Amino acid sequence: MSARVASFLDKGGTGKTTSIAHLGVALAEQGHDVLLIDLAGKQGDLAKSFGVWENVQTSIEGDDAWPNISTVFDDAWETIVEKLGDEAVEELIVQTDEGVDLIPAHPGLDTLDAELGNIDDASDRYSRFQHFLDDYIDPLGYDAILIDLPGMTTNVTYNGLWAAQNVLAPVEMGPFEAEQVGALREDLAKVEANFDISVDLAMVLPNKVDSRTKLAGEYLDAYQEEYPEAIAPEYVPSSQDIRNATEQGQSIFALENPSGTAREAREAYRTNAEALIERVSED
Amino acid sequence: MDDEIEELKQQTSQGDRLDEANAEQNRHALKSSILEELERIEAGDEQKVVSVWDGPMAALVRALEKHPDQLEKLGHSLQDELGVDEGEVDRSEVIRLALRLGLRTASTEVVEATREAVSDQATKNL
Repeated sequence: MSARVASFLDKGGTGKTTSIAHLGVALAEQGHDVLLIDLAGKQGDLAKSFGVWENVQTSIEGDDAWPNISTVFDDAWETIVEKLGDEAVEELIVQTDEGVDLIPAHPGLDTLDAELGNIDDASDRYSRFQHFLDDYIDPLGYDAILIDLPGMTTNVTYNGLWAAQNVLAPVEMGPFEAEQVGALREDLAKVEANFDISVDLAMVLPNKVDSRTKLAGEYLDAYQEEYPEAIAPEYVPSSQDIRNATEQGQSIFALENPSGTAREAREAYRTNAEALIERVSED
Repeated sequence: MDDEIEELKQQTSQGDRLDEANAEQNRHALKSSILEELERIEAGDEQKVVSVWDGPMAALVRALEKHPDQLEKLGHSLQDELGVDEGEVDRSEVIRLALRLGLRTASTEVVEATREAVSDQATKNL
């Protein structure tokens, strides 16, 4: 089975998508076959991070983006695969220039969430995506599957957590994030108690850290103390290059002349990617 | 794409909530207008007649009347496509069926709005 990780924190803007993109590229660089999946919403941010969203959007506008990521949750998915054969799954996957494959988001994730809410049986409601990964993605032989989730708890989010059973929580150095990681840990404990599914907090990843400030150092210490098992080996420094690269549709690994902070960030992603795959493979 | 796949696509396509809300609102507005028109017809303010200016179609319909076997065959084929019981057909019935089939093919929402308006009107005095 592929190693699976979902990026989640019940808060927007902490760098979930950027973390998934960069850890994915770092893993690919280390020789792993990597698939990234965007369940985070209709904006297609993960595909934008690799400059492939424009094509996806053209096919969405032309009503050609079917099947898509929202289709795999449907009762009829098995029938669709029977009719279309291997093409059904192949159709979902887009290749990027940075060595990772990607299943992009689709606007259908929006109404899908409400549709999932109509399924009375909670186990059925939350396990659809897990079945999809087990039955249709695992046979493709990827070493790692990294899933980007919405920055809030929705039915789609729970599907992602169920399927991955390992959470990467990118955090900024602020009081709200610290609180949200605490809440996340409580939620994961509830999931385990109510559904007998163990979802581990695999990595708390301090992100956009400005090491020049005293406050950042204090938060880093606090995270270290609170999550000694889960804290990432390296924090990711704040870097304008990351924002610029993302806007240009690439990761900082693709930059020809990275700045000092971008080089530090690359190293951090490499070390963290290695630790992440080791942690989730131990399960 | 074969019909079965196209049907699966229609059944399993999810969308954007804002777009869907807009479509729902448009359908509701159309249904209200249909209901108003039905009431005007019921009150005798409007006629139940639809007329179109179309030379070739007028010629075809009159010609079909001269060839009742072909008129009947066409009528039964339309009934079959619409999934209604095969029954007697005349000129008006063939046009009615063709109109309904055309609308259903182009937009199930429009047909659905009409069906709901007719049903609302039928049950309003119960």
